[in-house]
Amino acid sequence: MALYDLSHRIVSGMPHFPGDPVPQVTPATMEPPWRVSSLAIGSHTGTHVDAPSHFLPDGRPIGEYPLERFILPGMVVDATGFWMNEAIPEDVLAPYREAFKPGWCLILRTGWDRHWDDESYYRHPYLSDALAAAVVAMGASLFGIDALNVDSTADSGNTVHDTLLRGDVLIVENLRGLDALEAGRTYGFGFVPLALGDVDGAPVRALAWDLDQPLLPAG
Amino acid sequence: MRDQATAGVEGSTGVVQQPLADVRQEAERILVSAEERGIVLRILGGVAVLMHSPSAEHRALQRAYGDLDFITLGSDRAELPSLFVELGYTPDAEFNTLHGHQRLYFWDSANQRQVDVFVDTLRMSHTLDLRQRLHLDRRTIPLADLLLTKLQIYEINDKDVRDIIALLRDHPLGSGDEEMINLDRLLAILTADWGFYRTTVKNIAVVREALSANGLADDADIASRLDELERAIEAAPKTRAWKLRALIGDRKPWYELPEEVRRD
Repeated sequence: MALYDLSHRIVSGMPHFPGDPVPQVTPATMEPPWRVSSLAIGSHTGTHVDAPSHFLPDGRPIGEYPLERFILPGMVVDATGFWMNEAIPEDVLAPYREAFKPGWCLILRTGWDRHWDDESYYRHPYLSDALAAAVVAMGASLFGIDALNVDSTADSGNTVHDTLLRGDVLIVENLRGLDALEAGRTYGFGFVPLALGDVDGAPVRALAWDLDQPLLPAG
Repeated sequence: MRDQATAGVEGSTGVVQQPLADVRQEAERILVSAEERGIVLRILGGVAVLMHSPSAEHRALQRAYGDLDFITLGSDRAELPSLFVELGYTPDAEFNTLHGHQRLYFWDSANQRQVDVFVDTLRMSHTLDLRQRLHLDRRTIPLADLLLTKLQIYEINDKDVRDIIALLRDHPLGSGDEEMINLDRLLAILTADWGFYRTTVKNIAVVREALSANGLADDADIASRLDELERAIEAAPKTRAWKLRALIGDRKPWYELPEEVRRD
């Protein structure tokens, strides 16, 4: 079975959205030989899901969503080859519209995860308003991207968050490793958040698997 | 669990490993291994541009990547053969014996790829001494030097031009080496060596033509940085040696045509 890990590892000082809590993973004081770590992270640390309450004043928190919203089929859309801080146009969806089904997740591969450790990670390409509207119109249940933000970080944009979350499309940001997946092919995806309640988002362990092979061994 | 970042053969010191097919991952693997051994090794060429400039992956600038070029310090040169053998490469023993004080070759038979390692100085169409520039970046040489390694190529090709455009698209000219192209470093070279200047001016014109051919003529960042670079070069005071060589001009060749040796 091929299982693909699409998550960044949570470590101290890892890249994070400017102004968010600085992630810290430190050993807690314990009686030897026991080891326990203290995690100081934000709800949007690393690979994470945004709930509507992240941006919309009356939006639902992550705890109100059933697990089915986070484990679902979907496909990768290739959107590599854009400039830093360039708006990605709607036409990147054209080759995939026919095969995509409402209720799936749509995962945009920009290739920007390669710049994870660089200053350029914060100047990623982002969704144009037309592309965000098209994602909602196609009936996507969840939208993922291998970049810091679906909006422009450099220009402090927010219209894409508004469009997607108002359309009840959950957002997963900071994915990685999408090169391993074939664009346009259907995969199973999992973006299961921490079991939080009235919170605006949560880190996830993002993964994908081949649908033509069993997820668990028989017998 | 399939994980692209760790694909390939794991290895430890003393165990021969297998070079990775992905040229960028392979470059990282080599750089990490050198750093672990305390060897100063920095990557040059298109892969170095790719590491610094996301625009190198833009659809208008994408290009294939072949061989890997590095530079090391003369004091670390002797450590390289064992490093590359352990990483799965075959040294070009004859070439390295004859020319190893300036340049070393290693061959990756699995991927049919050559690794060139310059020692202290890049000697191609023009000469660029990099000994004092190798401690300014952990993986590559500074952006200004990376740009100079491209601008010095007399027989410049399309890949080199794309690399120059990507560097200028993503980085402003400035007075430091941190995420900017150090104009002082460029001028120190180009105001002292008329030949290097002459090739650079020729190549800036080539880049301008390429902008139109690649649909980038309206890109304000690139055009303004080319203008800024050209103005700064022309305005900067030149050395006496530069002026004397300028008097001869194009009547005498001002560049070398380096012979590329490739084992495939």
